[in-house]
Amino acid sequence: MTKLFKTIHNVETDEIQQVPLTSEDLAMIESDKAEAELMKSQEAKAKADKEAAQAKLAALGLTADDLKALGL
Amino acid sequence: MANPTTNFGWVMPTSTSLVTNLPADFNTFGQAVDTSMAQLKGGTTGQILSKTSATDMAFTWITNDVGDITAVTAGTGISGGGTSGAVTVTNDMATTMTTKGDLVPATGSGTYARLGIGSNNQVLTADSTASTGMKWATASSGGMTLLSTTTLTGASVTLSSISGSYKLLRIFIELPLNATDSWDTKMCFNADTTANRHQNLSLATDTTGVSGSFTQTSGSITYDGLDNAVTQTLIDITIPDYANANTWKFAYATSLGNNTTTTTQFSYKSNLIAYNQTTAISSLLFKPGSGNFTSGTIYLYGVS
Repeated sequence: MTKLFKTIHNVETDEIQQVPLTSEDLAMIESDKAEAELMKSQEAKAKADKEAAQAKLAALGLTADDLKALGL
Repeated sequence: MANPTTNFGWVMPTSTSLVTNLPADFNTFGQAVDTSMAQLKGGTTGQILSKTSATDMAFTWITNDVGDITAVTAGTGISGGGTSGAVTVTNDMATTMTTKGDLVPATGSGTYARLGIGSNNQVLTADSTASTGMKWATASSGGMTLLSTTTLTGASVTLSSISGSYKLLRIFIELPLNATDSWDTKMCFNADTTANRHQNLSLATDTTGVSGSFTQTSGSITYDGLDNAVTQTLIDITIPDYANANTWKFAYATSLGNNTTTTTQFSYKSNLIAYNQTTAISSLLFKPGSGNFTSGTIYLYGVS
Protein backbone atom coordinates (compact mmCIF):
# COMPACT_ATOMS: atom_id res chain seq x y z
CA MET A 1 0.00 0.00 0.00
CA THR A 2 1.32 3.44 -0.91
CA LYS A 3 2.43 5.42 2.09
CA LEU A 4 0.31 8.53 2.56
CA PHE A 5 2.15 11.82 2.76
CA LYS A 6 1.61 15.54 3.00
CA THR A 7 3.49 18.27 1.14
CA ILE A 8 5.05 21.25 2.91
CA HIS A 9 6.39 24.07 0.75
CA ASN A 10 8.52 26.66 2.55
CA VAL A 11 7.71 29.76 0.53
CA GLU A 12 10.69 31.69 1.90
CA THR A 13 13.37 29.09 1.04
CA ASP A 14 11.42 27.32 -1.73
CA GLU A 15 12.21 24.01 -0.01
CA ILE A 16 9.56 21.35 -0.62
CA GLN A 17 9.23 18.38 1.72
CA GLN A 18 6.98 15.33 1.49
CA VAL A 19 6.33 14.10 5.00
CA PRO A 20 4.57 10.84 5.97
CA LEU A 21 1.21 11.40 7.63
CA THR A 22 1.18 11.10 11.38
CA SER A 23 -1.50 9.38 13.42
CA GLU A 24 -2.86 12.84 14.18
CA ASP A 25 -3.07 13.60 10.45
CA LEU A 26 -4.93 10.34 9.83
CA ALA A 27 -7.28 11.13 12.69
CA MET A 28 -7.88 14.56 11.17
CA ILE A 29 -8.75 12.99 7.82
CA GLU A 30 -11.33 10.81 9.53
CA SER A 31 -12.62 13.83 11.42
CA ASP A 32 -12.90 15.77 8.13
CA LYS A 33 -14.88 12.93 6.62
CA ALA A 34 -17.24 12.90 9.59
CA GLU A 35 -17.57 16.67 9.40
CA ALA A 36 -18.34 16.47 5.68
CA GLU A 37 -20.93 13.75 6.27
CA LEU A 38 -22.53 15.82 9.01
CA MET A 39 -22.71 18.87 6.74
CA LYS A 40 -24.18 16.81 3.94
CA SER A 41 -26.82 15.33 6.21
CA GLN A 42 -27.63 18.80 7.58
CA GLU A 43 -28.00 20.17 4.07
CA ALA A 44 -30.14 17.20 3.06
CA LYS A 45 -32.34 17.63 6.14
CA ALA A 46 -32.71 21.38 5.45
CA LYS A 47 -33.67 20.63 1.86
CA ALA A 48 -36.18 17.96 2.95
CA ASP A 49 -37.65 20.29 5.59
CA LYS A 50 -38.06 23.04 2.98
CA GLU A 51 -39.77 20.71 0.54
CA ALA A 52 -42.10 19.42 3.30
CA ALA A 53 -43.00 22.98 4.29
CA GLN A 54 -43.67 23.92 0.68
CA ALA A 55 -45.92 20.87 0.33
CA LYS A 56 -47.87 21.91 3.41
CA LEU A 57 -48.26 25.43 2.03
CA ALA A 58 -49.45 24.06 -1.27
CA ALA A 59 -52.03 21.92 0.56
CA LEU A 60 -53.32 25.12 2.15
CA GLY A 61 -53.39 26.88 -1.20
CA LEU A 62 -50.51 29.18 -0.24
CA THR A 63 -47.14 29.93 -1.80
CA ALA A 64 -43.85 31.31 -0.48
CA ASP A 65 -44.77 34.66 -2.04
CA ASP A 66 -47.98 34.70 0.06
CA LEU A 67 -45.87 34.33 3.22
CA LYS A 68 -43.54 37.15 2.10
CA ALA A 69 -46.57 39.36 1.53
CA LEU A 70 -47.59 38.69 5.13
CA GLY A 71 -44.11 39.68 6.30
CA LEU A 72 -43.30 36.13 7.46
CA MET B 1 50.05 134.06 -19.20
CA ALA B 2 47.02 135.33 -17.36
CA ASN B 3 47.63 136.75 -13.90
CA PRO B 4 46.04 135.45 -11.69
CA THR B 5 46.33 132.07 -13.43
CA THR B 6 43.34 130.88 -15.40
CA ASN B 7 42.49 127.63 -13.52
CA PHE B 8 43.68 128.11 -9.97
CA GLY B 9 43.71 131.89 -9.63
CA TRP B 10 47.25 131.94 -8.34
CA VAL B 11 48.57 135.57 -8.13
CA MET B 12 52.04 135.96 -9.54
CA PRO B 13 54.44 138.96 -9.44
CA THR B 14 53.89 141.34 -12.26
CA SER B 15 56.37 143.11 -14.51
CA THR B 16 55.65 146.31 -12.67
CA SER B 17 56.19 144.94 -9.23
CA LEU B 18 58.95 146.50 -7.29
CA VAL B 19 61.94 144.31 -6.80
CA THR B 20 61.60 144.82 -3.10
CA ASN B 21 58.12 143.29 -3.20
CA LEU B 22 59.13 140.15 -5.16
CA PRO B 23 59.89 137.93 -2.14
CA ALA B 24 56.52 138.66 -0.64
CA ASP B 25 54.78 138.12 -4.00
CA PHE B 26 56.52 134.77 -4.45
CA ASN B 27 55.51 133.86 -0.90
CA THR B 28 51.91 134.54 -1.74
CA PHE B 29 52.18 132.65 -5.02
CA GLY B 30 53.93 129.66 -3.48
CA GLN B 31 51.50 129.41 -0.59
CA ALA B 32 48.57 129.47 -3.01
CA VAL B 33 50.12 126.65 -5.01
CA ASP B 34 50.83 124.71 -1.83
CA THR B 35 47.27 125.08 -0.62
CA SER B 36 45.84 123.99 -3.97
CA MET B 37 48.09 120.92 -4.18
CA ALA B 38 47.58 119.81 -0.56
CA GLN B 39 44.94 117.24 -1.60
CA LEU B 40 47.51 115.42 -3.69
CA LYS B 41 49.78 114.65 -0.76
CA GLY B 42 49.93 111.31 1.01
CA GLY B 43 49.12 107.90 -0.39
CA THR B 44 51.23 104.79 -0.60
CA THR B 45 52.67 102.61 -3.29
CA GLY B 46 50.07 101.39 -5.76
CA GLN B 47 47.34 103.75 -4.55
CA ILE B 48 45.39 105.91 -6.93
CA LEU B 49 43.58 109.23 -6.61
CA SER B 50 39.85 109.13 -6.21
CA LYS B 51 37.42 112.05 -6.21
CA THR B 52 35.63 112.54 -2.90
CA SER B 53 33.14 115.12 -4.22
CA ALA B 54 32.44 117.28 -7.25
CA THR B 55 34.51 120.12 -5.79
CA ASP B 56 37.71 120.99 -7.60
CA MET B 57 40.81 119.35 -6.08
CA ALA B 58 38.72 117.14 -3.77
CA PHE B 59 40.78 113.97 -3.88
CA THR B 60 41.81 111.11 -1.67
CA TRP B 61 44.27 108.30 -2.13
CA ILE B 62 42.68 104.83 -2.32
CA THR B 63 43.79 101.24 -2.87
CA ASN B 64 43.46 100.59 -6.56
CA ASP B 65 41.24 97.45 -6.24
CA VAL B 66 38.24 98.98 -4.54
CA GLY B 67 35.17 98.13 -6.65
CA ASP B 68 37.17 95.98 -9.03
CA ILE B 69 37.34 92.16 -9.50
CA THR B 70 40.86 91.03 -8.81
CA ALA B 71 40.31 87.25 -9.08
CA VAL B 72 37.70 84.68 -10.07
CA THR B 73 37.85 81.52 -7.97
CA ALA B 74 36.01 78.33 -9.01
CA GLY B 75 33.59 77.23 -6.31
CA THR B 76 31.53 74.04 -5.98
CA GLY B 77 30.36 72.80 -9.34
CA ILE B 78 32.53 75.30 -11.25
CA SER B 79 35.99 74.83 -12.74
CA GLY B 80 38.46 77.39 -14.18
CA GLY B 81 38.94 80.95 -12.89
CA GLY B 82 41.99 83.25 -12.70
CA THR B 83 43.40 86.54 -11.44
CA SER B 84 44.01 88.51 -14.58
CA GLY B 85 42.97 88.96 -18.14
CA ALA B 86 40.11 87.07 -19.72
CA VAL B 87 38.88 84.46 -17.27
CA THR B 88 36.97 81.31 -18.27
CA VAL B 89 34.74 79.40 -15.85
CA THR B 90 33.02 76.14 -16.71
CA ASN B 91 29.88 74.56 -15.20
CA ASP B 92 31.36 71.26 -14.03
CA MET B 93 27.90 69.77 -13.36
CA ALA B 94 27.01 70.40 -17.01
CA THR B 95 30.19 68.78 -18.30
CA THR B 96 29.64 65.81 -15.97
CA MET B 97 26.64 65.01 -18.13
CA THR B 98 27.87 63.22 -21.21
CA THR B 99 24.89 61.42 -22.63
CA LYS B 100 21.23 62.06 -23.38
CA GLY B 101 19.13 61.34 -20.30
CA ASP B 102 21.98 61.70 -17.80
CA LEU B 103 21.13 62.84 -14.28
CA VAL B 104 23.55 64.38 -11.78
CA PRO B 105 22.30 63.42 -8.30
CA ALA B 106 24.14 64.31 -5.11
CA THR B 107 26.51 61.81 -3.54
CA GLY B 108 26.85 63.89 -0.38
CA SER B 109 27.08 67.49 0.76
CA GLY B 110 28.40 69.51 -2.19
CA THR B 111 29.33 66.44 -4.26
CA TYR B 112 27.62 64.72 -7.15
CA ALA B 113 28.09 62.06 -9.79
CA ARG B 114 26.70 61.11 -13.19
CA LEU B 115 23.80 58.65 -13.29
CA GLY B 116 23.27 57.39 -16.83
CA ILE B 117 19.79 56.87 -18.19
CA GLY B 118 18.22 53.45 -17.57
CA SER B 119 16.60 51.14 -20.06
CA ASN B 120 13.24 51.82 -21.68
CA ASN B 121 10.30 51.55 -19.23
CA GLN B 122 12.55 51.47 -16.15
CA VAL B 123 11.64 53.82 -13.29
CA LEU B 124 13.85 55.87 -11.00
CA THR B 125 13.97 54.14 -7.62
CA ALA B 126 15.44 55.20 -4.29
CA ASP B 127 18.29 52.92 -3.19
CA SER B 128 20.29 53.91 -0.11
CA THR B 129 23.06 51.43 -1.03
CA ALA B 130 23.79 53.20 -4.33
CA SER B 131 26.41 56.00 -4.27
CA THR B 132 23.87 58.48 -5.62
CA GLY B 133 21.01 57.17 -3.47
CA MET B 134 19.01 56.14 -6.52
CA LYS B 135 18.99 53.77 -9.45
CA TRP B 136 16.98 52.84 -12.52
CA ALA B 137 14.96 49.68 -11.95
CA THR B 138 12.27 47.66 -13.66
CA ALA B 139 8.82 48.68 -12.47
CA SER B 140 6.97 46.03 -10.51
CA SER B 141 4.00 44.60 -12.38
CA GLY B 142 0.80 45.79 -10.77
CA GLY B 143 2.05 45.38 -7.23
CA MET B 144 1.62 41.58 -7.32
CA THR B 145 4.64 39.43 -6.50
CA LEU B 146 4.63 35.70 -7.18
CA LEU B 147 5.79 34.18 -3.90
CA SER B 148 5.57 30.50 -4.77
CA THR B 149 4.41 27.92 -7.28
CA THR B 150 3.46 24.59 -5.76
CA THR B 151 2.27 21.33 -7.29
CA LEU B 152 -0.71 19.74 -5.58
CA THR B 153 0.23 16.27 -4.40
CA GLY B 154 -0.44 14.09 -1.37
CA ALA B 155 -3.02 14.24 1.36
CA SER B 156 -2.44 17.95 1.91
CA VAL B 157 -0.25 20.83 0.79
CA THR B 158 0.99 23.45 3.22
CA LEU B 159 2.54 26.75 2.17
CA SER B 160 4.73 27.80 5.09
CA SER B 161 6.92 30.81 6.03
CA ILE B 162 4.75 33.24 4.06
CA SER B 163 6.18 36.75 4.25
CA GLY B 164 4.09 39.27 6.17
CA SER B 165 5.26 42.16 4.00
CA TYR B 166 2.19 42.50 1.81
CA LYS B 167 -1.26 44.02 2.15
CA LEU B 168 -3.09 40.89 1.04
CA LEU B 169 -2.52 37.42 -0.33
CA ARG B 170 -4.01 36.29 -3.63
CA ILE B 171 -4.05 32.61 -4.49
CA PHE B 172 -4.93 30.96 -7.78
CA ILE B 173 -5.29 27.19 -7.89
CA GLU B 174 -5.34 25.88 -11.44
CA LEU B 175 -6.60 22.45 -12.57
CA PRO B 176 -6.73 20.66 -9.22
CA LEU B 177 -7.56 16.95 -9.35
CA ASN B 178 -8.24 14.35 -6.70
CA ALA B 179 -8.07 10.57 -6.71
CA THR B 180 -11.62 10.50 -5.32
CA ASP B 181 -14.71 11.50 -7.29
CA SER B 182 -17.20 14.13 -6.14
CA TRP B 183 -14.60 15.91 -4.08
CA ASP B 184 -14.05 19.34 -2.65
CA THR B 185 -11.08 21.37 -1.47
CA LYS B 186 -10.58 22.80 1.99
CA MET B 187 -8.28 25.42 3.45
CA CYS B 188 -6.97 26.02 6.99
CA PHE B 189 -5.44 29.31 8.05
CA ASN B 190 -2.00 28.79 9.64
CA ALA B 191 -2.46 25.03 9.03
CA ASP B 192 -4.62 25.17 12.14
CA THR B 193 -6.98 22.18 12.34
CA THR B 194 -8.19 22.85 15.86
CA ALA B 195 -11.94 22.36 16.28
CA ASN B 196 -14.32 25.31 16.08
CA ARG B 197 -11.89 27.85 14.60
CA HIS B 198 -13.11 27.96 10.99
CA GLN B 199 -16.51 28.60 9.47
CA ASN B 200 -17.90 28.64 5.93
CA LEU B 201 -20.21 31.59 5.36
CA SER B 202 -22.35 32.46 2.38
CA LEU B 203 -21.65 35.89 0.95
CA ALA B 204 -24.38 38.19 2.25
CA THR B 205 -26.97 39.06 -0.39
CA ASP B 206 -28.77 41.69 1.64
CA THR B 207 -28.10 44.11 4.47
CA THR B 208 -29.53 41.88 7.18
CA GLY B 209 -26.26 40.04 7.79
CA VAL B 210 -25.88 36.85 9.75
CA SER B 211 -24.45 35.68 13.06
CA GLY B 212 -23.42 32.30 14.33
CA SER B 213 -20.82 30.04 15.89
CA PHE B 214 -17.54 28.69 14.62
CA THR B 215 -18.04 24.96 14.26
CA GLN B 216 -15.55 23.74 11.67
CA THR B 217 -11.89 22.69 11.43
CA SER B 218 -11.40 24.08 7.91
CA GLY B 219 -13.11 26.15 5.25
CA SER B 220 -14.38 24.91 1.88
CA ILE B 221 -12.98 26.61 -1.19
CA THR B 222 -14.86 24.52 -3.79
CA TYR B 223 -18.27 22.94 -4.21
CA ASP B 224 -18.44 19.39 -2.92
CA GLY B 225 -18.95 17.81 -6.32
CA LEU B 226 -15.85 18.14 -8.51
CA ASP B 227 -14.98 15.49 -11.03
CA ASN B 228 -11.83 13.43 -10.46
CA ALA B 229 -11.00 12.76 -14.12
CA VAL B 230 -11.79 15.97 -15.96
CA THR B 231 -10.61 19.31 -14.69
CA GLN B 232 -10.95 22.79 -16.01
CA THR B 233 -11.20 24.05 -12.47
CA LEU B 234 -9.98 27.42 -11.28
CA ILE B 235 -10.01 28.62 -7.66
CA ASP B 236 -9.44 32.24 -6.67
CA ILE B 237 -8.78 33.13 -3.01
CA THR B 238 -8.13 36.55 -1.50
CA ILE B 239 -7.00 37.05 2.09
CA PRO B 240 -6.96 40.75 3.08
CA ASP B 241 -4.72 42.24 5.81
CA TYR B 242 -3.46 38.76 6.63
CA ALA B 243 -0.37 39.92 8.53
CA ASN B 244 -2.05 41.90 11.27
CA ALA B 245 -2.05 40.34 14.73
CA ASN B 246 -5.19 42.01 16.08
CA THR B 247 -8.20 40.83 14.10
CA TRP B 248 -9.96 37.66 13.11
CA LYS B 249 -9.14 36.71 9.53
CA PHE B 250 -11.22 35.78 6.53
CA ALA B 251 -10.79 34.74 2.91
CA TYR B 252 -12.97 35.20 -0.14
CA ALA B 253 -12.99 32.01 -2.19
CA THR B 254 -14.58 31.56 -5.60
CA SER B 255 -14.29 28.44 -7.72
CA LEU B 256 -15.62 27.09 -10.97
CA GLY B 257 -15.05 23.46 -11.90
CA ASN B 258 -16.40 20.41 -13.65
CA ASN B 259 -19.48 18.74 -12.16
CA THR B 260 -18.82 15.19 -11.14
CA THR B 261 -22.02 13.80 -12.75
CA THR B 262 -21.89 15.66 -16.05
CA THR B 263 -18.48 17.14 -16.62
CA THR B 264 -19.75 19.63 -19.20
CA GLN B 265 -21.82 21.18 -16.41
CA PHE B 266 -20.35 23.34 -13.69
CA SER B 267 -19.77 23.15 -9.98
CA TYR B 268 -19.59 26.69 -8.61
CA LYS B 269 -19.00 28.05 -5.14
CA SER B 270 -18.39 31.52 -3.76
CA ASN B 271 -18.13 31.94 -0.05
CA LEU B 272 -16.27 33.47 2.82
CA ILE B 273 -14.06 31.43 5.14
CA ALA B 274 -13.90 32.88 8.63
CA TYR B 275 -11.15 32.18 11.18
CA ASN B 276 -11.54 33.24 14.80
CA GLN B 277 -7.86 33.69 15.66
CA THR B 278 -5.93 36.98 15.67
CA THR B 279 -2.48 35.54 14.91
CA ALA B 280 -0.88 36.82 11.70
CA ILE B 281 -1.23 34.36 8.84
CA SER B 282 2.12 32.80 7.88
CA SER B 283 1.00 29.46 6.46
CA LEU B 284 -1.94 27.97 4.58
CA LEU B 285 -2.97 24.35 4.38
CA PHE B 286 -4.95 22.96 1.43
CA LYS B 287 -6.46 19.51 1.48
CA PRO B 288 -9.16 17.57 -0.33
CA GLY B 289 -12.30 16.68 1.60
CA SER B 290 -11.23 13.10 1.07
CA GLY B 291 -8.51 11.25 -0.86
CA ASN B 292 -5.30 12.75 -2.23
CA PHE B 293 -4.39 15.48 -4.64
CA THR B 294 -3.09 14.01 -7.89
CA SER B 295 -2.34 17.18 -9.84
CA GLY B 296 -2.88 20.92 -9.97
CA THR B 297 -0.84 24.01 -9.18
CA ILE B 298 -1.07 26.66 -6.46
CA TYR B 299 0.18 30.15 -7.30
CA LEU B 300 0.66 32.35 -4.23
CA TYR B 301 0.97 36.11 -4.76
CA GLY B 302 1.68 38.90 -2.32
CA VAL B 303 -0.10 42.13 -3.21
CA SER B 304 1.48 45.42 -2.10
